[in-house]
Amino acid sequence: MARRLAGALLTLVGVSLLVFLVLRVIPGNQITASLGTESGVLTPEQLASLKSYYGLNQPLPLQYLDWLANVCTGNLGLSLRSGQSVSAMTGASLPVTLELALLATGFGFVLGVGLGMLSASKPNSVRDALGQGVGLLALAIPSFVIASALVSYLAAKFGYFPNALPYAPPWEDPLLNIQQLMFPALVLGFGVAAPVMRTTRSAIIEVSSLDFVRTARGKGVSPRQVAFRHILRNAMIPIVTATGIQFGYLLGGAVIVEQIFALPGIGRQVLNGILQREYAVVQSSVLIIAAAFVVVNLLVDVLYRRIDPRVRAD
Amino acid sequence: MEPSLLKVTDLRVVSSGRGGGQEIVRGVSFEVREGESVALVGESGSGKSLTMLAVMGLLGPGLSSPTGEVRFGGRELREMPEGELRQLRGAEIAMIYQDPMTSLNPMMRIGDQVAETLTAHGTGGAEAARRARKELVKVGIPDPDRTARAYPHEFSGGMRQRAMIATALVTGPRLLIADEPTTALDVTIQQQILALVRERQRSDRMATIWITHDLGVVAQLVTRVLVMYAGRIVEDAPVRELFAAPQHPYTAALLASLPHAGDLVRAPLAQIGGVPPAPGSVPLGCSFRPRCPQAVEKCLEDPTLMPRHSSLVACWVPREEWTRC
Amino acid sequence: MSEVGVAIRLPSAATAPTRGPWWRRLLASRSGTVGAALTGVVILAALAALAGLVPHDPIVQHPLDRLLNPSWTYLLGTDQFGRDTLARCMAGAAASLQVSLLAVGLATVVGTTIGVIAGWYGGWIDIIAMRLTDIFFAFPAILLALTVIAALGRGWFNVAIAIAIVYTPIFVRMARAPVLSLREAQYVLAGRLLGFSVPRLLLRHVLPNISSIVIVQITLALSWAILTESSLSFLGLGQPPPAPSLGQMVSEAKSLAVVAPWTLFAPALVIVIAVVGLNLLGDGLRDALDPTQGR
Repeated sequence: MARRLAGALLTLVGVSLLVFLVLRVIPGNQITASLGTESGVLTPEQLASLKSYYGLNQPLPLQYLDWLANVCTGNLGLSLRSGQSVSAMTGASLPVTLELALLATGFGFVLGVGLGMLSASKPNSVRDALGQGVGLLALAIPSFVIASALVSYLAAKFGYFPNALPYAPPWEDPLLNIQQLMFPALVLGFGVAAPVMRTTRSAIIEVSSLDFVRTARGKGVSPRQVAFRHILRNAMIPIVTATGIQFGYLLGGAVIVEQIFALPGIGRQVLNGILQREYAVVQSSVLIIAAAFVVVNLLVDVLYRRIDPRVRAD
Repeated sequence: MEPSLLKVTDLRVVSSGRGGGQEIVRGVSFEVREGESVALVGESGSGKSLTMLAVMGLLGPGLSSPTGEVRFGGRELREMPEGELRQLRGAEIAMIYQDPMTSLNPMMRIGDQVAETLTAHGTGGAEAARRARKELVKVGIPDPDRTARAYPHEFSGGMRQRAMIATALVTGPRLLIADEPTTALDVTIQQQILALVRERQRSDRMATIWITHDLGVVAQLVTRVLVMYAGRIVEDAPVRELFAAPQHPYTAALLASLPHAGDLVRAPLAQIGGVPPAPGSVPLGCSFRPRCPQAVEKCLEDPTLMPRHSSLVACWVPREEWTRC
Repeated sequence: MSEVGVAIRLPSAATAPTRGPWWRRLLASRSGTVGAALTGVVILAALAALAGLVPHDPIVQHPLDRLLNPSWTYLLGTDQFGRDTLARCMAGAAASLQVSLLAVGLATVVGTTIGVIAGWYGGWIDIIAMRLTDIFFAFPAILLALTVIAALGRGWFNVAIAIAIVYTPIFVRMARAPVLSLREAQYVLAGRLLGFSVPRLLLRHVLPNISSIVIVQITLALSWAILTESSLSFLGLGQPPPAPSLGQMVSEAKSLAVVAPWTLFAPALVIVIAVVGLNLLGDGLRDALDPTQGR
């Protein structure tokens, strides 16, 4: 366990290095320029804080360490346009993405496992081809296509576009919140369902041929109990692992859907940062998303170990 | 004589593999009486496991049993709807398997797995748990409470096999099919397990069919032996007669290797040469003819089981006429 | 990017598959045939566009013919500027394929090289390579692509670079695994004992045996690349207009979808056909090139 934590930490350090280096490709004077001309909104203290965040005019390694120190003490930079700190922005945007990711993962899990069980119930049959076909389509149809089509039709044909209203957090207006998140979660859920279905199908097929399933049938256990208590329970480990990883991907991968449905999530935060050349926003947000992804992977690992009694002894 | 419990007539199993069906079990007939213990002996590939799986209706994908009769307690199993058949499985006919590690659900507690046989047949949860615990004691597991709460991987092979036996016997079945239950265990543990089953067989008056490739093990356990070769039964004899005077040349060859304890697959047949025919390429006439030291012209005709002394043999040449013995 | 897709199995140590049977085996499998057909259609359309064999110029506007339904003149109708949708789809397909081929080509060469070297030499090189790929894998793919675009700016070339950067670690991992086992294979050991030089061993003995895995992975990578390229251009990060791009066409069609549904569905369909085709082709190739592998 400690070894796994250490590994994750090492990866996090690597991630921060990568984020830092990639964005340092941008010529330094672009950043300085932005600080000069567009910094009108910021107070002198904020400007100084941002400069400290960027660590300009220092040798590269020092810049990195400076930046890291800033990040660890909570200075994630500022938005030039709004003067808001990135940490405040993230505090508002991350929960939105989390809620969306949770809903999408939940839906994708149910759909994926259902389709996978259907496919696996009779491999290489029409049923199987159907299930796999749906899975392939879910993978192949880009989320932006489905999302665009949905938004267009709902808005134009039915005049239904809850996302035109400002985003409502669940504790303020739960009904509106659900309406605003429902379709985006559905669209993303299809993307989750595809790999979950594949994993479910192959896991079930593999487990079904194991000896203890035959033992259970030999005891006269009903087919339903065999399917759930024996086959599915043992197939769950790879399924849960795959689902957890999908959840992690959604944290940064929901950006397109967030954009189309005008949800103020952290993916959109990154995108806007790119379009508006807010490098601090991009740098910090990407770091946070990647860090969250590493954490999610770690949690999935822990979860899978808890489920499997064979490994629990560890 | 005890009443007939299981009567199998002309059972066949084919595999629907590539290139059409191949008969693996080619017409097997035998009878087991109440409380009788019988051994089904043969090498790997002779079809012994498949025969019993067909009896239970547990053939896997790609395998089917097109013909044959299976009467259990007077009822024809092959005409039974699956629901009724399922009621028999576990409750009246139980099976234990070779590898207890893979044959037990790794994610289910042992106590639950033993109790499951009862709950699958209508017993309530608490009652099932109680009887499961009692059964664990009866199979000689030292700490039944801890064992019931534990998972299979926490135990040694011998303990796991005991647990599997508990799973099978907890309902008090009339017939136990034991498919090489000791092959995967250490020699010392083997003896313990065999003794356990033999004891339960006696006390519960349960009929047993032992599937094995090891004639040596069999001698102490059963009253009758069925020898299988290439998907057919070639000899059906009381155990003493079989060991004293085997009526089929194949049985004789098997016995000849007994001093070399353990696996017979290589030893005797190295003496004869050749290998058993693969399913689908069985020679005309007697399937053993190509390797049989006693083969004569008549052997080109397929022999059926015929009575000889107190046994049934599928061979034209009586033992008295054997040459080159 | 949820699908790396390939179960990595070591091909037999025998010679690399000969040309004759493999395509017949490919066509024998249903997914292989359908995949090849679909992919072929898209490739043909793209090639036609590049050769100028389009019904109308994709960029030219026909202001009098705006938002027309599909007709014999405009087989897939026109968009809000009166541009022929079919021609734009074909040109867009060409653009997508070009970007994807460049990106995947780069990723394959760089990734496979690193992977083979890491697998062959092991030790520190391997550890570092694995750690690096771990770091790249810690990013959701689209996010990594976005970050690269943030640094480099928009445009088709940068999109290709971004996709290449995302996919290189996958090729590294995929190439490394079989090399680890191949290194100990009999005939390779024999070669080493005989004193064959490393490049010779790698090129003549190792590479041909991982080629089937690489080929399958290339098709899957291409399908993902097309998805990503269209997603990025949808977000406005690809080649600026009026260059035709499937993703951008979908973006522009958002407001038109109800009055002129083909403006959205035509480019979407092209994307789906390409992605599905490449996926099925990859599946078919996987079975055709490595018959020892069961489903």
